[in-house]
Amino acid sequence: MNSRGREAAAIFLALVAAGAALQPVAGPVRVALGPTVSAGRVIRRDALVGRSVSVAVLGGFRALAADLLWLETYLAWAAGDQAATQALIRLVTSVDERPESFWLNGARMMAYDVAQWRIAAADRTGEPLAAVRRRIREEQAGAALDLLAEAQRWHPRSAAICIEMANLELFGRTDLAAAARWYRTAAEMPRAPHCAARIYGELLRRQGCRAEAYAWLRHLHPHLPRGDPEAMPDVVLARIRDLEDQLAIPEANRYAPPGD
Amino acid sequence: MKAREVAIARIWLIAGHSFRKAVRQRLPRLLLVMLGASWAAALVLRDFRLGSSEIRFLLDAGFGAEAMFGAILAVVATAQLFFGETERRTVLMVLAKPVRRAEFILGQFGGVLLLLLAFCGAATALLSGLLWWRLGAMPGAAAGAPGAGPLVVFGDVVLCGVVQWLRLGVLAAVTLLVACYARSSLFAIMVGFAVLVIGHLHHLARDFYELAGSTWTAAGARLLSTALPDFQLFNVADRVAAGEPLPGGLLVGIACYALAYMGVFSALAVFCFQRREL
Amino acid sequence: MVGVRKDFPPPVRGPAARALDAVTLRIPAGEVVGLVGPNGSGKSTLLKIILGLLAPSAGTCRVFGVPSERVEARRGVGYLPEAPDFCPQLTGYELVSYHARLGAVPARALRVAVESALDRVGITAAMHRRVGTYSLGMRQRLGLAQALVTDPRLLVLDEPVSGVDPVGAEEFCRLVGRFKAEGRTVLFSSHLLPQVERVCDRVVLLNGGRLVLNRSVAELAGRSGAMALLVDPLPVFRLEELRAWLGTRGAALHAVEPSRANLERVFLEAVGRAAVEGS
Repeated sequence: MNSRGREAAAIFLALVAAGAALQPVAGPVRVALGPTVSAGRVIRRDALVGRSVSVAVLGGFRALAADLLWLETYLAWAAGDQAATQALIRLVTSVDERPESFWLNGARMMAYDVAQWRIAAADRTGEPLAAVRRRIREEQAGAALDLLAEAQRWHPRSAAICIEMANLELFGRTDLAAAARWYRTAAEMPRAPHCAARIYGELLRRQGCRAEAYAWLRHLHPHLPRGDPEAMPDVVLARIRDLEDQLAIPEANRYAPPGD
Repeated sequence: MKAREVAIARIWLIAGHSFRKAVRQRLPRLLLVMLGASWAAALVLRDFRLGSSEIRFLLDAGFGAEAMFGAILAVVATAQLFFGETERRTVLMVLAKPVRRAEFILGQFGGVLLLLLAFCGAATALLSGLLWWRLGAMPGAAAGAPGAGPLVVFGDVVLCGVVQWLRLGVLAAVTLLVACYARSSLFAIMVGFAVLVIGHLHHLARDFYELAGSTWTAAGARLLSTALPDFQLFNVADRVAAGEPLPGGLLVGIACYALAYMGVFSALAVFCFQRREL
Repeated sequence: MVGVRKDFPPPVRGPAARALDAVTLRIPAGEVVGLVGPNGSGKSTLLKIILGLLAPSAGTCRVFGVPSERVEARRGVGYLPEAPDFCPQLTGYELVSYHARLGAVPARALRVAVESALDRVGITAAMHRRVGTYSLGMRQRLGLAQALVTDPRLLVLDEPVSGVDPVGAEEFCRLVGRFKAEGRTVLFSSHLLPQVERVCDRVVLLNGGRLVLNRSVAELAGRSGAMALLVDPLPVFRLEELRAWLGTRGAALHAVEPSRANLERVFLEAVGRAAVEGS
């Protein structure tokens, strides 16, 4: 090896040593900054649109790139192109994972609209309807749930995403227990809507867990703001009364709302 | 002590001279104009924003443009300053004076840092002015949604500009090292941009090769990712655009990382330049 | 310089290129030395070793008693490289001022030193203009100004008159004469042998990296042993009378040929006349 080669090798070794020495500094910074894009997502992204997307991401113009791609998604949705719609939804959320609306609207398109298109296509082929429809809805709900599971990596404290997952379990897969778990998770998130806790109680009742539902709604009702129509304190109270009748709770032990 | 003071004075003199030369060239002015044009375009396109609020969109576009044009300035200006001195033989006139080679290289690097500071300062000031104007046009928007913080924390915008400067300083130090080793400015510029791309994506390279499963390629990718700086660590713009605060510990960590890498690269540049036949 | 050798390693593989081979040279203070030789003979390499810009592969080099690689050796040295170029966006004043400060000229004496150096080389009128507007000759003079501004004891000039017109070359010769009168040591390389012969006390000839000649100009001038006379045109019979007369005094007439007008002299006279008529 000549002198320039030796010099280059010495420089490289010095850089490796410096990089290793700086890992204790870089590690906490990496943790504080949060998750980064994984290789799998980049493979999907670049295979679809080419290197220009990586450059745009690298350059920081990804909000603009994502918005333009979302417009394209709407065009594909309007045309009823299920393959393009689903591919573009994944691409948009790869380019810019920050807006929750991309994840939520994308999941709804996948779960409901794409399911409807597939059902319509299956009807035309004359296959048995009920089983096929159920299977298609479950498949699409599953795909949407996978998308929202990825969304949780970037939005771990989002009540809206948990509620959407609960809806998909309920209406897509008719899995009451899973839906109840997600509503409960949503209810515990910061700034969660009041409906999450209320629906959790209702789902417990529908699963036959009336005692558990009663205890939950009794715990919930005192915390509901009286003047807020979205909180529906009267509806919750009516359900409490209903459960007290079903559970034959003695009068002396029945729930007394605060201020009565 | 006096010798050290004299050396620092010489480094500062060379830095000031390099800064004066760089500022009078067309490149920084051209990049500032392009930066302004890209923000003007963002203002025009803001009605197309679909996923985010206008302010977040402008912050994103603003920081993105500053990062991109700043990177071009860091790489090209550093290579041009160094090779301008060697190709014009002005470096011979400087080193024929009682000036050490280390002082010359550190002075050049100091000049580039001053140039990047001026660029980031101007860009951050312009972006802050743009945001101030847009917030003023949206009554009640500045305070943000109830329960959430204000839409824009201008202090964090300035801190983001400082972090941007540190990132560009590391990139300039890399380019200077390559320039001291290389024989042509084109090679130094190409390698500078290559390091920029690798530095943003080397965590992906590690993932790719681990997915591929080959031990040697995974080890090689890991070695390369250890040697080169991780530019993703300077990515605080997303947090500022999302209205999240910048913790002091995070900024101190980033600053230490950047200053350490600048020190390492500039020391290696001095090492190369000491051995360079002029 | 004692036994200095300089080898340049090959780019990829193969033997090293030897630029200087066992050069031993001593330049006394106050001398004007001309360094001549064909292209690639090692002149620039030798100058760079003296300035500490290159390290010798073998041998030693000292300037004012200090090893040339050390920074201290460069105090009191002014250098003009071959065909210097400068940042076109800076003014002549800014550049010379920068070099003055690098050479540790005190701040209180800076302005006087800079203006004096620019005045000596004759570009005071252009000192606040950007270097990008200067002609080639003006840039050469600017290079000389930055070498002079630190009041050096030793001036090292690499091809100082390359690309310069005869008027500029003539001015250079006058300047060197003044430097010598001021007691400075001047070492310059040149391909223009008439200038070297005119201004230098000593000539050093390099060829293939080796020092082949190191003589005073006076010695070299007396070498041929002959004398040339310039006379008005004579008819042939007068030439024969002259030959006979010289023969009676023990001298021989070796050659008779017509004198050609010196183009350089014609140029200088014409330019000088035009300058006078213009004023």
